[in-house]
Amino acid sequence: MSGCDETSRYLDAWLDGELDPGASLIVETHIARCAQCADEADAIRSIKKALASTREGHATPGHLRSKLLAALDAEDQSAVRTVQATRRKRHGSAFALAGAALAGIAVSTGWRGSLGGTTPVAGAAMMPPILEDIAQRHARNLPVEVSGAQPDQVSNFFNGRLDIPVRPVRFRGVSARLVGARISNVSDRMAAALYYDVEGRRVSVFMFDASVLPRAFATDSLRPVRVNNQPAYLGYVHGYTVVISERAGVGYAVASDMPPDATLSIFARAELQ
Amino acid sequence: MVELRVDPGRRKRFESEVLPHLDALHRTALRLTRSQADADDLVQDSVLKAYRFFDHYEAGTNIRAWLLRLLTNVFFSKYRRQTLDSQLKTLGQGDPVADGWMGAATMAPNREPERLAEKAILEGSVMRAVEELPEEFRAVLLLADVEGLTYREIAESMGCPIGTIMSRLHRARRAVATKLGVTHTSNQAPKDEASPVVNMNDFRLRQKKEVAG
Ligand SMILES: [Zn+2]
Repeated sequence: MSGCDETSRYLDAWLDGELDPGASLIVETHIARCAQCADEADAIRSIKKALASTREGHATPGHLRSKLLAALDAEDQSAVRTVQATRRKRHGSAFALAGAALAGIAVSTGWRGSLGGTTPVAGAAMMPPILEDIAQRHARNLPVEVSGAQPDQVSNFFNGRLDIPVRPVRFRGVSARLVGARISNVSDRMAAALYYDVEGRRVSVFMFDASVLPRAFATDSLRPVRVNNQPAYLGYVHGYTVVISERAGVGYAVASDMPPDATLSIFARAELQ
Repeated sequence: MVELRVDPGRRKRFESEVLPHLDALHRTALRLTRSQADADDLVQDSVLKAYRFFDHYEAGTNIRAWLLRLLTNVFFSKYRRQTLDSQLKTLGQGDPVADGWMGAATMAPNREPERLAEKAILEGSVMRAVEELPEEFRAVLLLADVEGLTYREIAESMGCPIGTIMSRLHRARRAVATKLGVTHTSNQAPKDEASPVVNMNDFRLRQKKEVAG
């Protein structure tokens, strides 16, 4: 017969219906014979019941409801203003990609704030882990483990080292050169870091298991944007811009020391698999 | 041509999906912050965040869990007042909260014959007891027992392994039971997070089985 300590450990999961039938049987068998553990179960059960009943009868105050709707209105308004402002300043961008037409690139935004130039994101003070992490790894510029512009050679280097397929990204309509690559990390997961020279500027592309993303999206001060009609997330920290997106379970992060609009333009030209 | 646009149907979809869960967000915010003003701000921050990230919400999944996850994240990044260290000390040994945690041998002779647990627990007093818990424990208890989230959903909300959630839930409920005087528990409180109550190796979660089968 299992002891009281062990039963107590499993008691909560049993009461919550999170225990599998085999383990449940062990708990049930013990409780049938042990009044003390049965008492404990009753106590927890009554607490659960009392807490569940507090769900009833709670109503959000009316003032908060109208405040929220007003905040959503303001959000919509500033999204429209951002779109207008971005339209106006499109050709006056501080960084213009030499010879690169903006043809075929669709960038839409469902949120307020400036995508243009030097304005750091409002939430940057929160130092979001994934954004910070990628920006720092880009900034550190560690030596490459495989060099050269041969995409196959780089793919082969990662083969068997990472759980995700690594196919070097190609950039359309812009002068880009693959400098090399190395094993890196994103949020404690192994990642591929690919280093590019794009129009003479250093651009890093990180590829990693996209399962780390949902939490990052929920916590980081990343701003949702749409690029080529695909959802992407934009972050700006310490003067570095990071654009994150996902394709078929692979997370992509493009990092540069250029402002957000220029980085978005480069990102829009990246052919993600 | 660069095309920039704002989707007009998005706002409608958002309101019809999210506003039905406003009460859940507000009551959780109120109990986490213990302040009307902070609760309003927390709800507003969370709803705006949800609006910005609405494209990332996977349709068909539990939107209430998603919203509560955003709210919990905002709470712990912006409104938290206590460090985890200080919280663990609060629930540690020697503290009044932990006084009910005694060995079975110590308690057994004093056990009252009646089933104390069957006493009705008044809603007001149970919520007061919950609100006295350290934040991390309070959050786990609210998400589990008021909002009915699964262990997995709570783990995602708090950014902790399921084992840690189970450990906190275990301790939070017994602390509440002790405050309310509904149990003379026979179990020793674990001293820190490093020794979780639940050993995941010899413990099989229902969810694990669902995934496998
Ligand atoms: Zn027992």
